[in-house]
Amino acid sequence: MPRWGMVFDLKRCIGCNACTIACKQENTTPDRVLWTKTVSEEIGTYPNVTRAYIPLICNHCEDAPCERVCPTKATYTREDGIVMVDENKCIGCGACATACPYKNRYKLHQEQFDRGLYRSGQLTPFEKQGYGRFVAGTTVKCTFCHERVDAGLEPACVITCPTEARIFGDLDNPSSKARRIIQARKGYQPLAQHNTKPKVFYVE
Amino acid sequence: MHSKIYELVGDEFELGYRRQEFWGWKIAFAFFFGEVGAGLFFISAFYSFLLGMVVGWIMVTVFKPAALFMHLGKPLRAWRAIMGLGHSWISRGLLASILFTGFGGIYLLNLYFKILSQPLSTVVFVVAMLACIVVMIYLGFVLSYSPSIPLWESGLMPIISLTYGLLGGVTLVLLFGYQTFLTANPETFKLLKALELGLVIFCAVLLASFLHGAAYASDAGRKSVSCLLKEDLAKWFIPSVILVGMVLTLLLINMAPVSVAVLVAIAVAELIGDVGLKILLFKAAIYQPSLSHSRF
Repeated sequence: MPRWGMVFDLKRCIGCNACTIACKQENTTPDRVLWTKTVSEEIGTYPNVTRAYIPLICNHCEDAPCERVCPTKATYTREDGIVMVDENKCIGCGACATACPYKNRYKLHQEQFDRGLYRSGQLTPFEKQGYGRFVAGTTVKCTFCHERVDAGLEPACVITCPTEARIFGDLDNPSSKARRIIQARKGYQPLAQHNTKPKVFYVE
Repeated sequence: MHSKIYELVGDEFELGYRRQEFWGWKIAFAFFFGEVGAGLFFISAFYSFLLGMVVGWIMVTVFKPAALFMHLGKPLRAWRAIMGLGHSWISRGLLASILFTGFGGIYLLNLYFKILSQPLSTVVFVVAMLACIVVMIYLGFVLSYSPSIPLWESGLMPIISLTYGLLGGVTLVLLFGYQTFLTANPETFKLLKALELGLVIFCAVLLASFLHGAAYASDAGRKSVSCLLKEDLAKWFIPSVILVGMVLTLLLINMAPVSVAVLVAIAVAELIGDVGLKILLFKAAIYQPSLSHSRF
């Protein structure tokens, strides 16, 4: 069984947010819900100043705090390491969202579905088709595009990235590109001090 | 390690501190009713003060779930929250609340109708009191269990919950009992007043230690403390939690002549401080940025 993970090459990320758009298109996430996004940081002071782009996503932690605090066991980890939320069990208490050190969870509200992506109160056919997978009042997060992964494809954000800054692969397979990059370029995990063992790594 | 002080950001695509937005005043009130109600029941039980026990039981059994149901996204599925007893403090708190509702209710009925034998009554009382203690402290465990928010990740959290629960209980027993059982027991009144004074001082020391610890735990913790003491939340925290909840309560306990009006004022001041602290703990919770600037 593979153990899926992702590597972000910070040298390659140009902050175009194509991944963000691809994710929204693939998953039809409602207004203000971004399962992945790229934030920027200004570094240095004039005249020596630069801007770094940092892609963010659910880290699918091995010791996921969101799973630990969930009172209903709605958050669970699949055998392949993808952390999922069962929308039929979630009660929307928000404990997982507060426990996630990366703030990568979103609670869905009915207004988000009512007003639509254009905030006009009218849903596009795309939204009408896609919103059926969500339940208002529950919590959602990135699923590593599990349907695509199950079909042998890579997540939407990965195939869309124009600079190939996102690398998806089996972290247990020594010959996978993700694993090789982590080893060769000393990949590190975000907020590793929390011991959540994220399956997302960053390299520079 | 080089660290950088970030700015608070909202939905912007900027790296920075982000506020916790999932828990707000509804869940703060739920925990407030839970802690104060359990504290009132706990203190009243020592004196078999039926009015206090009934009010405390109603606060935990009616007001707390009402506030929680308002908070939950899917309240009709709330029963599922019992499933995570092995790992979730919310589940453990729910179990304690259910036990408290059942055994506390039976104990109250027994006080009135005398339906149970003495040994059985003792068992019911012990279970109710144990559940009562868990209801008082579990918010602290829920919050301190969270690695994401440095302000909350403190071992002092359960003690703060317990102390505020007991303080609320003593305050309300003084108020409700003043013209009932305390009239005939001036020594008990003095004892409870001294206990109230001690608990307020202990709360102040705990809060100071808690904020001091958070400020030195991490940059995000320092930002949270700064928000509470200097920045946007200071206009709420200092007047409500410190001035009204502690200073005014202390002054009234120590200096004002005892009367119903003064006891009402003490209760209002102390409870404002309590509920204010709970709301502000949620408002001031700040997440660290996922990546440290020192990496670049």
